[in-house]
Amino acid sequence: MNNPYLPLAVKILSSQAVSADTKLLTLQLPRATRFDFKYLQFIMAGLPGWGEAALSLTSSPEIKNTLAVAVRQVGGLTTKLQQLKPGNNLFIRGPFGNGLAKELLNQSVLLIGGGCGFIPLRPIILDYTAGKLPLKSLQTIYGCKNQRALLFTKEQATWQAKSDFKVILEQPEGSWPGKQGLITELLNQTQISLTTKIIMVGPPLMYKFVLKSLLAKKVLPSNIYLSLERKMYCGLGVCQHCAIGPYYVCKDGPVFTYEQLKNIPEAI
Amino acid sequence: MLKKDLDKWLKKLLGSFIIYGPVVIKRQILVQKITQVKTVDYSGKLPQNSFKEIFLPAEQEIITYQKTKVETVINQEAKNIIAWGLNVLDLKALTLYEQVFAKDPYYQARRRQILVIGFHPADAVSAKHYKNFALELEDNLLEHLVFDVFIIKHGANFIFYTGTKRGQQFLENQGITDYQHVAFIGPAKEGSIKAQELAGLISKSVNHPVWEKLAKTCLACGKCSAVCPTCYCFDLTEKNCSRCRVAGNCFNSDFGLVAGGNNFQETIKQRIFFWYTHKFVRIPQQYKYAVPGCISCLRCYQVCPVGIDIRKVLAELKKPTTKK
Repeated sequence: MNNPYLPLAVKILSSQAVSADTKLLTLQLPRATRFDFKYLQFIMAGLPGWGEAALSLTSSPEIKNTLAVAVRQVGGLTTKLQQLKPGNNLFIRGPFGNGLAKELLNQSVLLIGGGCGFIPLRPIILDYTAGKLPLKSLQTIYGCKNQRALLFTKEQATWQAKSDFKVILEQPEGSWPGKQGLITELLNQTQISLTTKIIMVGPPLMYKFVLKSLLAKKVLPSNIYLSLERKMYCGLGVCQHCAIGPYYVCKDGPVFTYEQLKNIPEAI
Repeated sequence: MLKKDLDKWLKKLLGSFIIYGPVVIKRQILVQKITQVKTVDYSGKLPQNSFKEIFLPAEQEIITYQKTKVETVINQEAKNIIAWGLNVLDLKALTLYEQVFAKDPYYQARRRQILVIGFHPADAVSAKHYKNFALELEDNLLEHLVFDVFIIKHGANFIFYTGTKRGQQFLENQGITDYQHVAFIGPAKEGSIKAQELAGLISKSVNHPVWEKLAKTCLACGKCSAVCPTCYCFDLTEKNCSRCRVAGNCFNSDFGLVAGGNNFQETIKQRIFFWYTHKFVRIPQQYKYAVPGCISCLRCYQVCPVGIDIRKVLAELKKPTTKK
């Protein structure tokens, strides 16, 4: 019997800072390991004695021999993960969750990322700007607290050149040539068609305001996809920690349409 | 088989198996390790605790790991186990575990060590006489229950049935050849109407005033979850270089707490609603309305320090309210 609790040991290939508190860990998969995943899927990653945490995959699903996760320092395990050096082991399970793939093909897509919620959106931008993901169009709006929290700054010039990519900072420090304010301000300046698929990942507070704004623009709840964060242990829809109403975030999510969630007040 | 022969047989079994069953201790019926044959209860009354921990240990080592090596740990008991005298309601709970943990290597390994013997005193209590509010107990009940052996008491006679090949082999090895075989035809007919009604009732009730009212009396002590045979949620914890699976409790304040401080089960109201949603919405939906999320045992009510009665909660939800 296949044991879904048994993790796979993978080697850290590189660890690099991608913001003041976040590191991008690139993981080398053991030879002959198949690890196919979809956009917005996640893994459970752990270290002996430190438990596991759900981490968003942030590399392109097209890359087959390595994976990347971005880890923000929030607790004991993530502090340990940030200290990992190339050659160290990390223990992973997954991929978990429904993820997105064919829902996006040939569609007009708007990505809305808030804070570290931007991490799982990066693969979509990477693939689209590399010509590997056929979309009708891709717009991205990314809201962040300040320059220190802003992720993947080195890659943003390419993304801006090859797609419609905009950033807004809530409280920029010092001089900031870009926009200042809340993400809803960027959203209000964004053209959304009736068929645009909106994919958003961010904190619950962002969802509240962005949803209000989207619904005011008459966007259909079935065109709004949002990814939810919950505590989770098993990843298999058994342990109950991630349950919301009738759903399990680990299995039925993490991506839900607003249509699925609109009558579940505890979801957002 | 007569009672004296049953006692004699059980005494013999105690020599080669670890046997858990309902035992009378100071006028209370408790599921425990059986040490003396004469203390075993055959009244058919529900024991205060369920058989949950026999099938789902409260703490279980699941993997060990060193620097590069990760290994599955499957701890076996020194002797095989018999779960003796499960009543029909607790067998319903077992039928649920079999679905939930169908692909769980730890549950399956433990289950292989446990022989399940059901018991029902047909003359003392009819299955329909349990204070059942959430179950549909089928007329051909045995066909929908998971067991290896089932004993029905008719008057002075203990009559044997088998539900599995393993049960048949066990009885044959024990020299018992007078039994009937009942083939298991599935947990229950899919689509229990009672279960669907309850699922609809709970899923639409999030704004019902009953939750607010309960939140004012509930102490969030979690005793109901601990005693409930269908509460199987768990945490994964780390111990030295092992990962363990330990019984969880959705009334714990950190049940929905994520790193960074967001707590998705912050209020008692949210936790109570979560508990009911698991039982009456998620379990039935996940398993096609064929297994119950509540077996009607009322153990939650018996242990509740503030007397919350699940039947009254469901009844209140059924009443029309003005505030929707």
